[in-house]
Amino acid sequence: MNKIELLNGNEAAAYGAMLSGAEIIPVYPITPQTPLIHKISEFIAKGEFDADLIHLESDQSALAAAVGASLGGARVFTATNSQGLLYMAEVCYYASGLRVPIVMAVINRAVSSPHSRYPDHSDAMALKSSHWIQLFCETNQEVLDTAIQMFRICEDRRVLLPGMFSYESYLLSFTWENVEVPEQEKVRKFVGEYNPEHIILDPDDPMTINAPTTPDYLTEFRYKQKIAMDNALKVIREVGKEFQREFGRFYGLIDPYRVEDAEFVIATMGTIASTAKEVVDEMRAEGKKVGVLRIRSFRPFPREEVKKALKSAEAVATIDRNFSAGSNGALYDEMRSALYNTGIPVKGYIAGLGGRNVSKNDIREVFEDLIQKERLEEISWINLRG
Amino acid sequence: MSNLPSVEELPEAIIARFGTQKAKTGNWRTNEIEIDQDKCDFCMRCVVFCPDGAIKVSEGKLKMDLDYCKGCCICIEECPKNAIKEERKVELP
Repeated sequence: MNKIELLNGNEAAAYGAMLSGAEIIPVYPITPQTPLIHKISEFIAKGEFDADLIHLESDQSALAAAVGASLGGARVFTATNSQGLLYMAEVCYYASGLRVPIVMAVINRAVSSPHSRYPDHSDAMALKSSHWIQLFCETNQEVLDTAIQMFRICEDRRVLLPGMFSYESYLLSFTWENVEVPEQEKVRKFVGEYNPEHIILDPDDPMTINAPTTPDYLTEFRYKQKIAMDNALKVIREVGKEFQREFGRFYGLIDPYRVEDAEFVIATMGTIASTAKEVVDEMRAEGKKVGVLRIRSFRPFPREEVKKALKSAEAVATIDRNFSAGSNGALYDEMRSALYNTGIPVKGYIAGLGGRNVSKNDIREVFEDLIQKERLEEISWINLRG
Repeated sequence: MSNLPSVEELPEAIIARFGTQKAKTGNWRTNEIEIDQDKCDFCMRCVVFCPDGAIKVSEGKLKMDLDYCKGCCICIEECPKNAIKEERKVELP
């Protein structure tokens, strides 16, 4: 019997790691990730979870230990955010280059300075080029389900890349929701065993890992990561469908909401989509053809799916909870690139930085801009005190 | 480039199931190093000082293994008999 529990995002992620059978969990505490570690400790202390929780002296060491454990053949889980993730950045590239399928929860928090503990996607976006799979969640149920799916996706022989699944601090990490917790036996069966053959530290079959390469080799190894990431598009979909058969809930690369016949669409990630979906329902009742396209998979970015989903769109707005000075929000760039040559204008919005609330009214104003075709092809900052 | 492994032939990650001996690095060299066998008195100082283990004993003589010699010239500096010479292969700018 599946049970319903009142869980916050961190607890949901901890359940995901436990149910999936993570064996080694190297961590360094950081707000808002710490309660996730508390929950895992609690599971282990109660004898419900047979895993080794290792406290390292830094975030960088935590991910380095994760790489080592994964090279040893273990199923590895870790979690961090903001400064901790950036401190791990160097090792992130080692993990993806060594093709170790570590699963990491990233509890999106603004990167200092100014110091902030509030939700913001700028931490994960800083690592969008580190060849990790990056999925973004909208609800605590999705956090738990994505943690389970992540092990399957990353460990798939066609993929073999590490993966981060992200959920926003406070809005999900410290907010309690009813979450259906699937049976452990069923989850373990779904996830399967991790038996690496491509890279493994084995005294009986010694191998040199991370050997220095001449210019004759790096290009080909990078291209192999590209192939793996392309394969991940297919694997994420497959795992989503199989998960739906087993557990009844579906998550794909994108989450289109009333987009099919929509003329004006907001594309966004994480919890902003929840607010936008409510606004869509209200505006649909007023007869306006609006929709929301939530991007769940940022890496790999599902260009073809996005293009297909937006075939009836007249204009698209992106709402980014991240910003790169001198450029744009990350989602804006991806969407413009995906919709290049389709003739669909994309207007960018920056909103919700450092935890600033994105209200229903803000979303409505974005839709009104699109409908009135106001300053399309521009970037606007929502609620900026000018 | 043609005899190098293709994307498909390469493993997922950079691993080597052999020691560094199979990674021939002699092409880093921009010079040629030669031992004058008449001057060499087999003192083996060059063997000890070579950072790449590129000086081999063969048929009672010391020989440069050009598959691994990177041309650092430490052996020339260390040879008490001035028996080792460097010749520029490539003119540096």
